[in-house]
This record gives sequence, structure tokens and C-alpha cells, in this order.
Amino acid sequence: MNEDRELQDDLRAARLLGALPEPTPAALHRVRGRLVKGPSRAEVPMVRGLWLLGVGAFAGALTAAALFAARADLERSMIRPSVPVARTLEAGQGFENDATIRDVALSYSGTGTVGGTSDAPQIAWDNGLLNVEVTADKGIRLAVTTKEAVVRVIGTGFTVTRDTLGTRVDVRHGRVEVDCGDEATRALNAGDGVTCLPRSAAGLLGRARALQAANAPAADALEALDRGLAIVGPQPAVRDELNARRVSALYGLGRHGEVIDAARAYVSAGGGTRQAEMVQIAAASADVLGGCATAAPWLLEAGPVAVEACR
Amino acid sequence: MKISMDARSHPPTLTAIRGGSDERDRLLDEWLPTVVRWCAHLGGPGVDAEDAAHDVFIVALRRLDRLYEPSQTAAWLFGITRRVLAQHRRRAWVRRWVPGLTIDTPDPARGPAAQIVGSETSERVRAVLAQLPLAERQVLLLCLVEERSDREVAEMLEIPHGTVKSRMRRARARFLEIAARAGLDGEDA
Repeated sequence: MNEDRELQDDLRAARLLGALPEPTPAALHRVRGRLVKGPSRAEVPMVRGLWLLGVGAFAGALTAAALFAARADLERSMIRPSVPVARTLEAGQGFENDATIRDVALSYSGTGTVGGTSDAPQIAWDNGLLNVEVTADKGIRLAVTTKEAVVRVIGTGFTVTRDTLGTRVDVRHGRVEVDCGDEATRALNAGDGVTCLPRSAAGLLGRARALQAANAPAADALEALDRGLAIVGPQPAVRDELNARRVSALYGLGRHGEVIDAARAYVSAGGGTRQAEMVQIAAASADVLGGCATAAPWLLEAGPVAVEACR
Repeated sequence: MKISMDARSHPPTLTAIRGGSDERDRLLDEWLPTVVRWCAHLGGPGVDAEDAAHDVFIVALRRLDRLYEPSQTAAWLFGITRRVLAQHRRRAWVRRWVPGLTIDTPDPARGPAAQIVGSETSERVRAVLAQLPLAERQVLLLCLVEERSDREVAEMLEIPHGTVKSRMRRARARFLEIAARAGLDGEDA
């Protein structure tokens, strides 16, 4: 009983911790860039830092004076300076033709952040629906990143939807590149769409749960479960749930021989929290294959009442 | 949020030891996300995750020739990360209590919260995690987020295998208790 409780707690904690955010590509890029450039701020001695601050302030003042003097020329030549962008996208707020990112229009119902620069904005999309319109031929190099996908675009309109099923990208017009992190980058044209599946075992379990709850074809849920089982680490709770749901999916597909094999493996492995349910499903499959006689060993495990009921 | 299998493969480490900037780049590709994640979730208040991750790699690349057993890369890097984070926590403490020392202050706009993709739920989960003692945060992160085995975690934390299990039990119970008080349960995520 205690083991069952521990497995359930493991699963709950793993699900919650699965919501922890991942480092953004922008953050990784910054760290890598600093490693190439030299020592960190933390490594610079305090006195040297003060000295550098003074020199920096003096140089900044000189630069500001020079810029002020040359502002007319600058205004003519720098028609479109690239500036850093840092915004939070929250449900209920708009972001249409923002002054900073002039050639990008976003509409959404979900959450995310916008970073990068005005000519290379990077949207980290967490969940929900995001519509993007990028004006063509303006040199905007926009990227949308989710846990499952990276979408790169130059001049187009597309939609990114992220939920428990994964990340769905649909292109309305133009052309985008989608990197699902598994195979070669996919190029999508207008009217095309692709779904990037979750990459972790817990994420794939979430997809299978959502598919089964929505009465989607059992084959789709089975595919997610098999993918999850192929990569699951030493996480007994996740593995247990993947295996149990796989038995249900096989039963839904009428693959009764495989149901019995999978249920037998589940039961004989021991420690699973859904032993009784697996026995019942195996008994039902065995009944389909050979009637009560074939189902008898499973029915015996379910109890004498079940045996009587079958007769 | 699982560490990629590539990050557990060792050939890049071997080639990086032999030298060459391409190999070192590849080592960064393999391990940088993991180290930034460690720094973001184990650093604590006032610690800039990017600064800390940068310092970890400064030390790691300088001492790469001391990594005799490439299969121990995870434990070796985690050991460096722990020591670097301890330094950064001390600096954060000094910054907080000694007046006038403000030059080294992390940029709040680039704090851990701004460095990683966030949402309301993820921020709440992070706040719950932050309330746990460091030792418990470490086992939760390594066991449940990165799905490492008890044995691997024991090597990384330099503690007995049984201690990992008992610490994991305590951490999980405390985490779920605080999460429940915060109105979170396993179904939210």
C-alpha cells in the first residue's frame, strides 16, 4: 500500500516539476557569447570594476556628445535601428503592431515572452494559441520556440498552438521552417501544418492521456505510449502509467493477443498500481479469443465471483 | 523537461579533452542547457544563473584535463556547479549586507525568472521548489526532472545510495505538501 502511495506521489511530483521552465535559447546564447568573449563580471575584481566604470562613463559621455553632434546624419542613415525587446505575453492583453517590433503582429490566448531584438525577435511560447503575422521583405528574422519546436520565419503568417498534445504549427501564407528536434528541419508552405510531439516520457504520457480523454483513435494514443516507453528513464510511476495505458489502447484496437501479453508483463513485473484493472482487461480479451475457458486463469485472479459470472 | 540522451553520451567529452575549439563547442552544446538549468533552480535568491553557468564553464574548460573518467562528466560538472553556486551565494549575501557594494549586482531584468521560459504554473512550481532546502531541491531536480537513476544521483551528490532514497522521500513529501498549500496538485501540470 505504501509502495502504491509512493508511486502516486512520484507521479504527481514529476508532473508538477515537469512544468518547470527550461533555459531559453537566448539565455544559452548569451552565456556562450560571454564564454567566447572572456571572463565574467563576477571574475572582474571590484577595484578594477570601479576603474572600468569610470572609464566607461567617460567614454559614454564622449560617445553621447559625438552622437548628439551627428544626430542629423544618423537619423538619415539609421532608418531602422535594432533595439532589444523584452515583453511578457499574457492572456487578455494585445500585442498588435507594437512600436518596437513594427512589422510583427501577434494575437494570442495563452502565455509566453518576447526577447531578442526588434529585427530578430524571439518568442518563447509556453502554452495556448499564438497567431503571428510578419510583414514580408522587411528583414525580420522571427523565431518561435516551444518545448517541442522551433519555428523560424521570414515574412509569413502562421499559428502555433501548444497544449498537452504537443506543439501544432499551421501556416496561413508564406513559408516557415519547423525544427521538432527529432529529424531534419521541415519546410512548410501555405496550408501545411505539423505537430511536434512532446520529447519527454512524462510529456508523451500527457499526450496519450489527452488523446484517450478526447476519445481519439486508439492508434494515436498507442503511438504516443510506445514513444514514451522507448525513452522513459528510471521513473517507475511514469513507466507504470505508460504500460497500463498501453494495455487499454491495445484493447481499444482489438489486438487481444497483445493485450494479454502486455497485461501479463505488467502483472508479473509487480509493483504496478493498476494490477486489478489489467487483470480485468486481460480476462475480457481472453474471453474474446477463446471464451470462458481461455479467460479462466485471469478470472481466477479476479476472484470466484468473476468465474461464476462467466459460466 | 528531461535531459537529452546526447547529454549523457561521452565522446564529445573525450574529444574536448584532446583539444580543439570545435570539440569544446560541442561540449558546450551538450551540457550548457543542463548547467544553466542547475544554476537557475539551485542558485537561490540573488544568484544570476547565467553568470554562474558562465563561471562553471570557465572552471570546467580550464580543468578539463583533470577529468580522467569521461563517464563521470555529469558528476564532475555537477561538483563544479555546486562549488560555483556556493561562491555566488556568498557574493549575493555580501552584496545584500555590505553597503556600497553594488557593482556586481545581477541585472534584475536578467534574473532567473527572466532567463527561462515562464508561465503562471511554472512560476508557482518554481516558487514551491524554492522553499525546499538545497539538498532536497537537488535530489528532486536530478531524480524527477532529469530522470537520473538513484545510483547516478548518489555519485553526483557524493552521498550513499540509501541516503538518496530517504532524502528523495522527504523531498517529495515536503514538495507535495507545500504545493498543495499553494493550490497546486499533480493534475495542474
